[in-house]
Amino acid sequence: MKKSLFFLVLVTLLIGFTTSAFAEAVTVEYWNLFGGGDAEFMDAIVEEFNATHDDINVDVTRLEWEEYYTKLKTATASGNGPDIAISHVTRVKELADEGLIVPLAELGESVGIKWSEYNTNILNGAEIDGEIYAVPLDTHPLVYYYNKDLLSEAGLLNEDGTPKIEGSFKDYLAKLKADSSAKYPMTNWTKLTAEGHYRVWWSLYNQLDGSPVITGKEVTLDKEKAVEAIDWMKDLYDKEYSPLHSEYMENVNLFRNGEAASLLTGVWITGTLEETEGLNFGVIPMPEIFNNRSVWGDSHTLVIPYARDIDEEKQKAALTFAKWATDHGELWAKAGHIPSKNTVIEKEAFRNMPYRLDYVKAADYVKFDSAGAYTWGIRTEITTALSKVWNDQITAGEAVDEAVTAIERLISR
Amino acid sequence: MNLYNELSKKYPFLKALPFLLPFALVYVIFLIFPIFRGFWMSLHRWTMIRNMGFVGLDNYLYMIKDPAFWESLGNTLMFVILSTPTIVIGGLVLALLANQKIKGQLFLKIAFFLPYVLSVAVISSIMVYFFQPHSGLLNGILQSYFGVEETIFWLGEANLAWFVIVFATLWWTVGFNMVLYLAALQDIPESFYEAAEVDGATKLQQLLYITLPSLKPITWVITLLQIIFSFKIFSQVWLITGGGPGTETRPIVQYIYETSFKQNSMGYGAAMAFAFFIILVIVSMVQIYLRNRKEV
Repeated sequence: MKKSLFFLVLVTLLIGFTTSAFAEAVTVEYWNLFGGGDAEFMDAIVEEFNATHDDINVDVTRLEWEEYYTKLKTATASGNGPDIAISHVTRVKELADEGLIVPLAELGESVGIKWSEYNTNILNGAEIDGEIYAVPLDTHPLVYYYNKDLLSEAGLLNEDGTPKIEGSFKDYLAKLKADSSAKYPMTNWTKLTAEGHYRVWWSLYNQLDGSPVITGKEVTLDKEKAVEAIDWMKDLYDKEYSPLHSEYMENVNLFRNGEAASLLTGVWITGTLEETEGLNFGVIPMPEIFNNRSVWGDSHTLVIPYARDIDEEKQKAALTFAKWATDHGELWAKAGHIPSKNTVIEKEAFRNMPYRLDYVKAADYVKFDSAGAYTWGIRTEITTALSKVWNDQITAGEAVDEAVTAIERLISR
Repeated sequence: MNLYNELSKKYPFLKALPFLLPFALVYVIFLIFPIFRGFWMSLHRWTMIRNMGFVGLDNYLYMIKDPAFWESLGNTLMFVILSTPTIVIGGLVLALLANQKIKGQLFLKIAFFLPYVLSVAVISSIMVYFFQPHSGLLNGILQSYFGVEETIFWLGEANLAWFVIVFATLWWTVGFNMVLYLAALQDIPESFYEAAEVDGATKLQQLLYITLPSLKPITWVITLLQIIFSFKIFSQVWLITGGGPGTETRPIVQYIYETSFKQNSMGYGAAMAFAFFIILVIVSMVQIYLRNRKEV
């Protein structure tokens, strides 16, 4: 009995020693904000990375996206932040200004990241005062999905399966409303307090070459262009080309059921639409309504939070993961997002995926709306002012004045 | 030990101290300290992660001139005024119903109480599904069976949105008030009713002259709890209407939350939270004063 016990202890000790010998792998703490389909694809990427890298072990923590930035900021500030984290590109300036993330240009090059391989438009968003602060993973602009069956009912489908938009986009919607069996020609996320309105407005405002909302501590919104964009949207809702007040999943489902002939929303919904049985759809970048093809979009990037005790080995391991994840952007593209690297877009594996190539060009049209710490506040103030126009409480001009006053108050605080 | 015995004879308080200490400690660390800390923060410009410098009463002056603060405070008051009587009376009516000696009494009690055990996220999702305009259950029923032609925007118009929020809160929390009333109803001696019956009192007279007067003390407690609870309204509004349309249903707690955590302005958020705290203290003191006066 005693002998066997001794043997057991010996074996346990031996196992203990050997595993600690193997355990020299660097553990990288990785936080992200993904939910639903995105989360599964990201978990698969991490799993594959860990399987192919003996020396690095990436440990994922998934957080609720509503509270994500609050947690990321407070944890980092108190020294309990992760080694690598997801951040929207429109949040990078805010994090960099607070000193919560570190510049990556040289560190990245030391693990073999070639910055020139990334899409310039997205990379520019990650550059603050000439320093690169984030590794772009993807971009996710608004795109235009359409139901091919309903479009062909109205004779609005080209031979090659693209929508036949001759004349203005509204003429096309009018014909779609009149000649197809769909209840609504289009749908977008129109809940009054939701950011959906703002995203469409931002796209239109930039198609009119509008200036940034604020520059430094000054409001530089181009009022005339802002009004023109609002008027276009007001008319869209008044003519019931797109139903007002729809909740997010409601507007997606209107399109999936065939009650709406087209859907203006982010690329992230591609995966969901693909899984919808009997839905024969196509997708193009957001149509050109005014002078150019600018469109609202954001981008997921990987950032390295600031730590008091800088562990260069950990930072390099974290960036090795960032490089690997972006080099294998085709895995992430399954969720619908546009890969950040031109080299990925040329890969056979990406080109063979349906739909993605139809909107990949949108990455160059994206206009980011980052305004540092004020980004969220500006979005909300504009959304609120817009919703009063939809409810006929104020005119477009009054709404712009109201938004400007509110934003001035916001930045004066 | 002797000293302790002697001292505690002189000062009985010392004997109680070991028993009070554990709770008092937790109370001070998690309640008293944060209140003072919050006040301290409200005197500074404070981002989510750092103190940007002392500004004195600037945050409070800004607050007084901030129309959004007054609007959201007004919205909270509006909710208190709408919801308190509805939910208190609702609880009373349900308790009277569930207290009838009829078949299925237990079923009624369970059915009325069940929503209370659900989390706010669940009831909010149910409400959104029920009230959403284009594929919601209610509009579907109205359009299919009652010949309603137009689409009603339950969450898109201020008055309807208020109705939805009060309805959601009523359905969700009325069960709790019902249970309190039921307990009080059990306490009314059966002999009162027997005596009344012998004297020939009708059911209505029994309700008016026995049941309702006996429920007065508990009604006072329930109303007090309900007012405090209603003042703190946030989650269901945030999840159902998002404070909309515009900001017309945005309560003060939501505005404090947005300011502190979304707009990165903890100092100003703390100032509003502290002002709101003072308002609640005043409301509670008025209630205590009114009750004491009644008892005398």
